[in-house]
Amino acid sequence: MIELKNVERSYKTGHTETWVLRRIGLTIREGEFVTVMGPSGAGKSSLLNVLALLDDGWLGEYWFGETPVHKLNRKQRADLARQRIGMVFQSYHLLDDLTVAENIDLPLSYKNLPAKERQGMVADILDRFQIVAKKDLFPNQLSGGQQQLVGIARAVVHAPSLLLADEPTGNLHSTQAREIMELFRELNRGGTTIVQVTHSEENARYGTRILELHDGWLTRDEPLPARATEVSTK
Amino acid sequence: MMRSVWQDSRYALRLLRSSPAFTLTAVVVLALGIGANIAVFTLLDGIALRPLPYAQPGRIVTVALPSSMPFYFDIAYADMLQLRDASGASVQIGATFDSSLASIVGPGGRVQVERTQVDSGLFPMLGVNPLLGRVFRPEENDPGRNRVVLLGEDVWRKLFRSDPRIPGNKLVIRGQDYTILGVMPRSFSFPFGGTNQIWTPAAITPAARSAMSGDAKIEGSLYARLPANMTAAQLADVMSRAQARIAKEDPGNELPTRVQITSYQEWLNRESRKPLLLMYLVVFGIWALACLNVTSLMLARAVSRAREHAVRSALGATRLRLLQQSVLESLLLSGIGALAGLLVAQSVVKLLWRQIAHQLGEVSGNVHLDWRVIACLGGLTLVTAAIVGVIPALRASGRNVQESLHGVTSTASAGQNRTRELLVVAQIALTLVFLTGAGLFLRTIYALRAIPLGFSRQNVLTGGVILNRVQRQAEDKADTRTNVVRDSYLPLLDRLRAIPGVKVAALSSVLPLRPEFSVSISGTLDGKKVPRDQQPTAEGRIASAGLVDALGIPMLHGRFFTEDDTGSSPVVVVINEAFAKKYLPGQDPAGHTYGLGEGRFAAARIVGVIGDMKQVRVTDATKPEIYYCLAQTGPESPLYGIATAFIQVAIRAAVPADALRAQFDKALHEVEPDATTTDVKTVHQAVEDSFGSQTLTARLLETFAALALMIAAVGLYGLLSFAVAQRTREIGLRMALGAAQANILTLVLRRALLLAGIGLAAGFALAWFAVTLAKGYIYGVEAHDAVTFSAVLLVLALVSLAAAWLPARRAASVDPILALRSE
Repeated sequence: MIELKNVERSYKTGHTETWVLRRIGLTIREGEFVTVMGPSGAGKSSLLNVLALLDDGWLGEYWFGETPVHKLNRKQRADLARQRIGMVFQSYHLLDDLTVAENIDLPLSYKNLPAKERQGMVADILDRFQIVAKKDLFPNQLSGGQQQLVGIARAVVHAPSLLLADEPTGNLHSTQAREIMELFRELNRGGTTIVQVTHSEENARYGTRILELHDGWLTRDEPLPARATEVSTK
Repeated sequence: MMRSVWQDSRYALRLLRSSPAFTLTAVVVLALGIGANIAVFTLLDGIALRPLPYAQPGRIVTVALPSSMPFYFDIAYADMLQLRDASGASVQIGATFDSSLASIVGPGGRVQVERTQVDSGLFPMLGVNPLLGRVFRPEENDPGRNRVVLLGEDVWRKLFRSDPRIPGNKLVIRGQDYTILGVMPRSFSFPFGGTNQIWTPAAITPAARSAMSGDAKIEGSLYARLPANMTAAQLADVMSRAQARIAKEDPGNELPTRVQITSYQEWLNRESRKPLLLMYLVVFGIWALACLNVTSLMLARAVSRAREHAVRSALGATRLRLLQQSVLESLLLSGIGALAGLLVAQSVVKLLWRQIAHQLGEVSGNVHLDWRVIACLGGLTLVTAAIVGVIPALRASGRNVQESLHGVTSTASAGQNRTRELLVVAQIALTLVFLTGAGLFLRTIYALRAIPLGFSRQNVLTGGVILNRVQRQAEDKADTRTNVVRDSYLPLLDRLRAIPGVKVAALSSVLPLRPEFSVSISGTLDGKKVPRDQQPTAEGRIASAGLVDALGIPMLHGRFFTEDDTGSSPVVVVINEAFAKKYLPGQDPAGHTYGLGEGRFAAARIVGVIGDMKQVRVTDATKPEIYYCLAQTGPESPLYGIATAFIQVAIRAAVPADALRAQFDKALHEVEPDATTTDVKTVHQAVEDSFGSQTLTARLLETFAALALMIAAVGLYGLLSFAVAQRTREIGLRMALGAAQANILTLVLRRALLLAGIGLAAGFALAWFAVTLAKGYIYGVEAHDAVTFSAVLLVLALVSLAAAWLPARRAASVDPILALRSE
């Protein structure tokens, strides 16, 4: 589904150039649940930005399915991201002035879908995530776990084929974190490809593959056997 | 306490230095707001508030005889005496009579002075003692004993280099010797506001003390000092009763039966008070606008400094201390703004003072920086600092410290921005009011300029001429040896016509829209005797041949004066269309005669009719006029007095008329070395000047409206820029969630346009009521003029859009990674 060939990313500060991604070669197949790990500054978030098509400053090749992303212009990349990618953030990033339902509707509102269709999609996702009762509440009326639930609902409402999550449980306590990770696994089982960035070994075990970055280099890429089920049923 | 104030002041200064764009914007906006206020207050102070330089100036009043027309009658001295007797011994009175310009010479050179003839009661009534010497004694009003003079301090300083031994010396005024009695104090002037003044006693004959009409009568203006136990209304009552009796005893004179008593201060400012108050209202609005603007800037700054405040609070700063810091910062800002504003205001007022004084009507006084202006500035600075500093400080110090410390800030900013948005709405609304006012005044000026004047305003230089000859005495009347027309005016005309580049030169006692001089005459038409009140009355004027060509006046019938009309040829007159329509309707005026007095002038033949010209104001209908030929005006003519008093010159040129001033002066002094010119200007300037305070108000409103527009645009721009900066994370997030640039552009613009829309609606409603205040000043346009309102709405909407566009563009180019990097 995703193939990166020799992807590199650097930032220039004055006369010095800092490399955050070095010659990344990577293939992610459809239905995988990939965990990216590594110390701070290793390049995890930079890799996620490249995958999310938010960053245009990288070099190398990026294939999204059959699409050569490296040949697309900004608008085409934005269109592709809008159709195929969903994002979940550590700080949830819900808009405080919008209700739960309106927050979920936000990505749909940028896709020029008819209002009725959007309403149906939002209703479905509220139902699926069992948050119908909370649809008219504002973010500050929800707990952290509930806010992240809404954040995930917003990320998947348009049924993206790739879900990217940057430390999705970083601001949650362990019970809430487990619930969120269960949800990810469920989505993954439903066919969504997931790439998560985390520091948590426990969260990593929900995935099927671990990537590790150090100073921008990909230093580990290995599959994880089915221990995740044991974790979840403990 | 003092230590903390000092510490906070230093910190505030450092902060202001570290954000020069904010500081400059705030200081400039405040300087404009406070400066405009101080400029108008300086005018108000100089014109209306400054106490007059007399003892208990509030008790000095003018005594006037109002007419049904918008002017006052001069009062016969005999009338004055009767009014004085009627009001009792406790009421002091003083009178002024003729006032004229004279050119006098002393060791310091030549100075043109304004000489006012007074009665001996004037100076005691004003309660002012001279700096040197003494004031006039009653007997010095007797003819023959009146060759004494009092000098103004400035005249004494310039002409006699402040020589303290000057009383007793001789001074030549219009060819006659006067003895200097004394020098008045530095600040003294009467009539108030004049410079280079001198005073001489009027020659009051015993006959003048009882003459209500005839040659012995002398007329002037009357002033009085109210005794402690009497009000102006009481004096008006007493004097009106007396005046009613006087009018009844002398029905032939058709005297007014009522006396109007007005405080002298109010009297001086009767023309300027209304425009000044209107201007003050406008600058008050500008100041409010500036305060709103800087408050919203400070609010924005307070939000971005929330973390700093939180750290200070966490380290033990009390709410009061945080408030103190913010107020000190705003005090510094408004202090610098006030100083800059003061400098600008004083320079502008000083630069434009002559023009302002001229356009406000006959304003008196002078403008200086005095304690009242300083006090106003201080007060304004403090109030400004309180407004722009306290609200943001209260909001900042009321914020949750823990949240601010942990950087938990809302992504959406609508809630936080509400106060700032309200301020922007208010700014737009106020701006709309100013723009509407300016629009209406602009349309007024256009309407005034579009009125047909009846003459050409192209390239004609005009100016008054005062000969400064030995003053004409009653006994000179029959003296035919001197003839100013023959000896001065006709030779002057020849010289003017000989100046290279001059096409036509003409003389006339009155030129259009130069109402320095006006004489109303009543005569007989075709020798028919009718009661006096039914006699044809017209503005009596004297003109030389060439006047119609010089001014481009259309000749409707017959001819104007020619070189063939001389002192020995039959007397001819020319009338205007208004005269023909009123007194000779449906007839051919040619051949009719107009009679004035006896002799040659008893049946002057009407030889032509000229088109109507605007006389005093372009908005007034033209009154009947009758022109006598200058060449036929000798000492025996009934209008000779007009000629000796004053004449005006009109020069149409092939070169730029304004460039002929020097040649005009030269030609005049070749003929009359002592003569002076007054108010030399082009006809175009005369027309513009006739618009008076309307031009000034229009110009000021245009300037203020432009300022307001700028301030409001800066306000909207600042608010949106700040909002965009605040919402960077939200905008980045929206883009990460799929928003296109167009979506973001729409998001920001929609908010801006909503604010602008609310501001425009509120401003429209406000302006709808506010324009009624300007009703008395506008002409040729409805107060609720649809064109003005629509144009103003459009302009403001476009400016708002432009102000919103840049921040919106900036928002649309936010890098979405910022939203993620801030994790």
